Amino acid sequence: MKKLNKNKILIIIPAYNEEMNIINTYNKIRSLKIQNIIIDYLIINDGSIDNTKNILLKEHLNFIDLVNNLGIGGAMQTGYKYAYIHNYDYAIQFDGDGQHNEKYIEKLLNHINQTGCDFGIGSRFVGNLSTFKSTKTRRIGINFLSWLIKCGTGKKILDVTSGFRIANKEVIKLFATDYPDDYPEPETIVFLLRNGYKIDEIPVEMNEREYGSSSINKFKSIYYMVKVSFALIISLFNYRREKK
Amino acid sequence: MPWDLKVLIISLTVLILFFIFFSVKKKMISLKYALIWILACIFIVFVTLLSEQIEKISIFFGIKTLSNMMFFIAFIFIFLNLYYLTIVVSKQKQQIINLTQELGILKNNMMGKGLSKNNKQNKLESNNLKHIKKI
Repeated sequence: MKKLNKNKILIIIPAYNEEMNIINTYNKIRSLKIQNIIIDYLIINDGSIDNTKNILLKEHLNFIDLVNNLGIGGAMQTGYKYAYIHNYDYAIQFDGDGQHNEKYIEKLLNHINQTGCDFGIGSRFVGNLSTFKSTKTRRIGINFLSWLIKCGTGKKILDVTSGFRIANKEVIKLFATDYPDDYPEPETIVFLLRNGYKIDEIPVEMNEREYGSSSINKFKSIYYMVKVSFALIISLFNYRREKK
Repeated sequence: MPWDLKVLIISLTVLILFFIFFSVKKKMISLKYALIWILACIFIVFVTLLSEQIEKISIFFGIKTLSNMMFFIAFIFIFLNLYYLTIVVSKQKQQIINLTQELGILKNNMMGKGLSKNNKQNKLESNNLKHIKKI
């Protein structure tokens, strides 16, 4: 446990038009205390067109303001770049919309510390913690992507679309230079596995969104499936680099 | 190919060439991307002047008329050019993403909030920043 003393973690919170949720999310993070660990947070305002930026300015929060809307991939990579530049030990992806539960940050952290895996995914479908309801079609989609990843990498990941994740220093460095855009979650799994990193799923609870709608609506979901499937297949053909 | 048709095609092509030169001069398009169109115009003039000889070549390849051969070549040319432009657009998208991210991090730095840093840490951070920029 001695190693824990020096650890500092960065909680990356991407926010696009989250004026209703962002303060709630910040308050959750602020009240979070973990022994021997420095917790910093960073909000990425991904070119919001509502009041998000004004709220962030008014409350004097630590945030990065992107002049263009880059989408979740580009926004998240900004967080990883920041984490890499400021030399963080761990980076945690935490959605700004109230879906993720801050109680489990410590669990993710302990898991990655104790098992020595490189990347942890907070999973709704592992264990029986979560009562998260999702539609049948969404489950089918997720299962299909999960199957595709299993076929390509041999590793079964159940919750491939979960955005509640923790990355260690090596993964931060990797993501700072190379991160998929558009819908990055399933693709990053393949990317990491192909590069020889170890990924674990950690059971967590997730809430329904508090306000607003998910970034993936019905019309986009077909595009999502097609795009992600292709991205996965292409990334399977990327040659395997040796883990440094 | 009758002579009056040849004159029509060549004068049209020359008109387009002037338009391209004008665009480059006014810096509407950069010379790099204009070159391929200039070459295409020169190719059209060349084909028009030597239409009889080229028709023989097209018959040799099993294409019955010169016009079909031209459509075929034009289609391939347009496809390749469009594909090239898609590559350019994708590259520019990546550049815009990088710029937006760097600008965001820079603005965040200038706000000077959050972390208190000592010199050693600063040095490490600037090293890491250099590493990102190299890639």
